[in-house]
Amino acid sequence: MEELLVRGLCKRFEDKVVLQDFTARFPAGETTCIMGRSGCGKTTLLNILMGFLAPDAGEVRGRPARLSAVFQEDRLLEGFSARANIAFVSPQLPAEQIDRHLAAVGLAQDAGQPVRELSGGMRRRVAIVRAVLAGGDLLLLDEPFKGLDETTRASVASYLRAETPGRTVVMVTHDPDEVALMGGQLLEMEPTGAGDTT
Amino acid sequence: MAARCRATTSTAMPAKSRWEKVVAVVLALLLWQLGAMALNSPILLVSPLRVLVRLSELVRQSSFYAAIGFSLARIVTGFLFGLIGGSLLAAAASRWHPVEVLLWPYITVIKTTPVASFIILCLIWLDSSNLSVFIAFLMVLPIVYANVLEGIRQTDQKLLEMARLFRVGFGRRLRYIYLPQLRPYLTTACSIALGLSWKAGIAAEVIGIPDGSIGEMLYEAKVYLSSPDLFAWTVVIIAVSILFEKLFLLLLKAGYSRLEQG
Repeated sequence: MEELLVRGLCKRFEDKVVLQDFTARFPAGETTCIMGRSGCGKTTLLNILMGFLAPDAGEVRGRPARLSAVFQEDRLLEGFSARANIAFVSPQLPAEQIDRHLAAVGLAQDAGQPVRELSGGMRRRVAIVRAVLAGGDLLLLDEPFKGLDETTRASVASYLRAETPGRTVVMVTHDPDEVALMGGQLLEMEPTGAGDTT
Repeated sequence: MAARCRATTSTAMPAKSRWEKVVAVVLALLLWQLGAMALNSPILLVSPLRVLVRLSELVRQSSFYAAIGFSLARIVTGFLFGLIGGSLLAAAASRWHPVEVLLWPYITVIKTTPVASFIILCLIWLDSSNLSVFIAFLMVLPIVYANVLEGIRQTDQKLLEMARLFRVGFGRRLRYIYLPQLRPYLTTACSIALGLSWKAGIAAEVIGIPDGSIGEMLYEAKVYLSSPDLFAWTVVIIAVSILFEKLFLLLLKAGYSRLEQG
């Protein structure tokens, strides 16, 4: 995968400017953490990278055809098991492989449980495993550790680092501890969503 | 303010218990029996006991089961055609706006036209033995169409976005996103449409008088002023309709359980 580049991105919702001339480089095969306070446009940026939102101005270059993501919300299929949620996006994977990954994030006993019966932190881990196993050259993480306690957060970060070598990872967060856990390049966003790391 | 709060709380009606329902039915039957005794005219109002006796005579005749089978097969066929047709049309209308626009006059006409008008019109086009199939279909179609269309529109857009990002194919989106989210809409539509298909289907048979149908039995009861037969067949229609509704909704529930178990 070539490097991901965003240049001069602008996005406004009615009168509110969310992104103002935002430019950044995301080196191929590396992790980039975007840090900024709530409301500074981090999720809007990820939605543009995912292709869900079109910018008012600017461009995105080098976006791969296959990408995966952990969304701001878990976006899980409520009535289905953790295993089925992962198989939904990765039907080619054997159940044993899915179970092994779920066990790696502490969900060995919960693979067959409907996700609506799982706690917020458990659901978050299912969403993370789903994104990791879906493959793709680019992995976008929107506050992936939301709802996880400190110990679980460290073990899930270690799982993420171990399972994504060679993939371009872009994580947004407002927590410096999470940046420290994931490592990689740090990019700080201004409150207006302006930034320049090139 | 406190009084208003108390008043609001007291308006919440508790659900009817099984015993309360039994008591209500027994009292209704008792009232019917007393009414019949007071009128003392079996043609005007036959007593529930007499209906029970007539029913016990009917169940010993093979034509009783043949009539039920005849009507059941046709009304269920009409219902299933309406369910499938309504679902497919709703899917097409949700996907292509012009389809919804073009269907709108037909659906509105079907919904608002009295069923008797359709029955008489269809008698000109169709053989009376298959009239109830078409009438049940017509009654079910707009209900299923409207509910399924609304269900598709209410499907969680964020889940669809997620599926799009992960490049999930239509088959799996249908099975894992659309069908589970359509469940309450389908259940409501089927619950309403099942009862209506029986009412309209039997009405079609009473007007078309196909040989060996429940409708023909009702028609003959009217011609010969046989109130016991009229009431007995009405009880049969209610019982078969309720049984079919319960069975169908049970099957729907079981289907969804299997779907979720994967």
